[in-house]
Amino acid sequence: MIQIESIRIQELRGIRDLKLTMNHENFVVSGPNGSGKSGVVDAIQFALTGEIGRLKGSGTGDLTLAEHGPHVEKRSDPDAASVRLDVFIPHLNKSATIVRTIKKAKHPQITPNEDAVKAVFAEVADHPEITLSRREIIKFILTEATQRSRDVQTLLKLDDIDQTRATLKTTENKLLTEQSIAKAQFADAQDSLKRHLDLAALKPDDLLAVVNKRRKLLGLPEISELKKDTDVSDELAEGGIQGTGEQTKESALADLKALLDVAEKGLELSTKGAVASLLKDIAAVEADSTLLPLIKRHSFLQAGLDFVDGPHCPLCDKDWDTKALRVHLREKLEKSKEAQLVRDRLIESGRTVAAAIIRLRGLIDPLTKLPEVAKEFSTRLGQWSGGLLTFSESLGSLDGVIAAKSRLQSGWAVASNNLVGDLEAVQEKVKARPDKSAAAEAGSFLVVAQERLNNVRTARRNAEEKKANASLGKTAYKTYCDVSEAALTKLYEEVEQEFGSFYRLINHDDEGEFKAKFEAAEGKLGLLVDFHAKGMFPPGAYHSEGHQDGMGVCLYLALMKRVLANHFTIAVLDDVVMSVDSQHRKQFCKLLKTKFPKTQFIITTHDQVWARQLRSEGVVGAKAAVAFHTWTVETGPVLDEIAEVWVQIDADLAKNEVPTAAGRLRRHLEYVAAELADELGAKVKYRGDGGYDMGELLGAVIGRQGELLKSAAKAAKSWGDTEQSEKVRKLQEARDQILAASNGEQWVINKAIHYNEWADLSKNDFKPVVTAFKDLLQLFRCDKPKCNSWLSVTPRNDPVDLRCSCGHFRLNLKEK
Amino acid sequence: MATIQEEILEEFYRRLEKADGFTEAKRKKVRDLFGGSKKPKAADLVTVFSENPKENLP
Repeated sequence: MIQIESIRIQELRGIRDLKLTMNHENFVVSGPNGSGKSGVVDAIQFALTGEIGRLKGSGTGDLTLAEHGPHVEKRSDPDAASVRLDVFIPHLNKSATIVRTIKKAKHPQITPNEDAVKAVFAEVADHPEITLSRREIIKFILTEATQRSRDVQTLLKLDDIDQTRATLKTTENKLLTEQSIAKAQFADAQDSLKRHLDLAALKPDDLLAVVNKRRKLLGLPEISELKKDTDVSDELAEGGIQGTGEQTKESALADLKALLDVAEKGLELSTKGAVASLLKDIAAVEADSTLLPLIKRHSFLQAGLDFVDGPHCPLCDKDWDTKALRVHLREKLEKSKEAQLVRDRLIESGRTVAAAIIRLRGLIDPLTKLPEVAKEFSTRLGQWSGGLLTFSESLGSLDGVIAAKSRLQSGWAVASNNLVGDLEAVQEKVKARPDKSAAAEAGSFLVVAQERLNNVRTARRNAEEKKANASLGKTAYKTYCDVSEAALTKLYEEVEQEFGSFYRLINHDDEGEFKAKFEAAEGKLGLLVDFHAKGMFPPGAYHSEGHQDGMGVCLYLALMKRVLANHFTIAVLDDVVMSVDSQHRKQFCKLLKTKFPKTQFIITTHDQVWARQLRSEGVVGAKAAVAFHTWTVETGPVLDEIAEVWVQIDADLAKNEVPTAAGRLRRHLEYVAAELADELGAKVKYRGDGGYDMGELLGAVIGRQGELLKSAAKAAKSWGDTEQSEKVRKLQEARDQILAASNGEQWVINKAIHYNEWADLSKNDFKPVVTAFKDLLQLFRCDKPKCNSWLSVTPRNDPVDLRCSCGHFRLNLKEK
Repeated sequence: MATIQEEILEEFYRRLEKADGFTEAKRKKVRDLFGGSKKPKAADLVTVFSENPKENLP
């Protein structure tokens, strides 16, 4: 995975032209609501994935990336809307660049054009969850189990597991159907042979006894053992005996009796339960107009899912979002699960009726060959059997089963009215058949016996094969289910442990014994959390909004750690932990620093206090921050990037744009004054609405600086620290000169007269103002170029030191 | 980095080695199907599970 070194955003969403340098370190973007912070998140997401999350999903209606991705004034120029990311790839120890425009969103330019680098960007694109808003994070906590299951599945990339499971289940079902049909065919072949041999059971000794009786009569050698290749009619021709293949009288009568028995008892008797179940489910489908579309959609969606296996639609060849489409289809499949149960019952019962039809055809077909069956009746029997075959085949599909309703109601067998009479007439004719010689009878008997034995052997081999195949399908499905269930249980346990430990770190003061438990069931993922050792409850039951916020982030981090392991090198957190109080946020900082030292966090927030806290707690460096003040359609976010503000002001003045430079200076001073008031512990009159103006803050800051330098001078004197005494003296001297030269104290005290009127000054009048404030602010910074951080007092409550973040500047404030 | 699905499939293949009827040839075909660029369909798996060595003896 990657870390961002810098980003250049042009004409994208609300941003016109913005460059931020992040140096693959943590970075914070702050600013009030509507100042354009989320535009940075959108841009990072777009550069890495080719998509913008807020233009997708429910509630986005007609929004599209192509139309609404570019800045509103560049709607017709999608090529102008672009993002360039310069990144560092830790595991390759290599820098790379990705440039993506709205016009060619699916085809970014990647430099260097190397497979390893492209693979890294492909991996990042597969993890859009690296950018996450509070709304998305909290959904892991406050959501129903079914939705949480989907969201967690998506994040953990578990969709493939479900799809594989479904494919293996379908495979098992298909093989079971084949086994069921083969089994029915085998039973039919056995019955046919048993009737011919007049045996109740096919035991080898009994079969040989019946066969050898005829062979003996024909003078043929007896068969002592029934082997796989034994031919009971062996040597018949050699013995000069012509077996006609015509059924013997007894055999013919047995076949006739078999069909007559079934016809008299009821041709559909064996399927009574299956038909009742079919009619009930068909009635349910007819009564609920939404059921059939849901059932059909399930098959359609399942089939469709199989086709979502490339970047283009196979019909129109247009690009599609494979991942989003698959998630969408799976959600729809989930919704039609109940309907799927009805569908499964319909198919299963249809399979039972189809097997019964195969058995019935096995009784009909031999009769068509009897010489006593008149041609007309033989044709009718053949047509009946053919019709039954067509009907049985139609029961293999859902539409066929539902269309079979009226036939199932009226009797699926559709036998002729006088079937029994016709069969009895044939029976009489067979009985009246003139006796043949015993030898002829025996010859025919052996030929037909061998024919039916061959059928049994073929059907048995087929049935055994299908059974073995079905066993493979069953084993594969069960094995996959066992393995995936064990893996998911382990995974959820790991996430539970990690989630709990993260949350305890943040809330060690009041929930040091916190633990969490996932409850995974099919399609659901329940979450229970401990509440002050009073039991396990859903997260929304008793925990405050702030605690839920914390839980959301902890769970997200635990999931990401499990998914990406040491590839979790970047996360963009958009306005998260906003409901967490200051003390717990401090612990959150500790969590980020200690548990994720190799992850670059890019954090946006509308809360200046949180932005400062991130810096003071060392999560982000002094320069790794940018503050947006306002936003306009024309300019995009107006930012106050500390390092570049003076360059920007000089550029404004070079173009004689004094009002722009004046506005920029004022906003910068407002921002810095707030920072310094906090860093130095300046005393400011409290305002309930937090609406401090620059004059109040900067005045307090300058005053506080004076106090601190005095304290440092006294401390140096008491310790006999001549080096510090000299340093303080020089600082005081420089301070006095700058304040005298700039008259800064008066400016900041009397705002009505001065800084509101800067915009009316001429360029030459305004330049000294800029120089004065630049010099003034430099007094509050470390003079070491690599540090250049604001000075701050430590500890806050009872300061001992005035220092910078690198330690180069340090003044002792405590007297001996 | 192996995804969870890949980890599961590896364990799945390992267990099939000990399962009755899953010859080396069949396991290879199953692995090839799941390892291919396109996701296997049930019909593909039915074919693999239904392939049995034909007896060539007269």
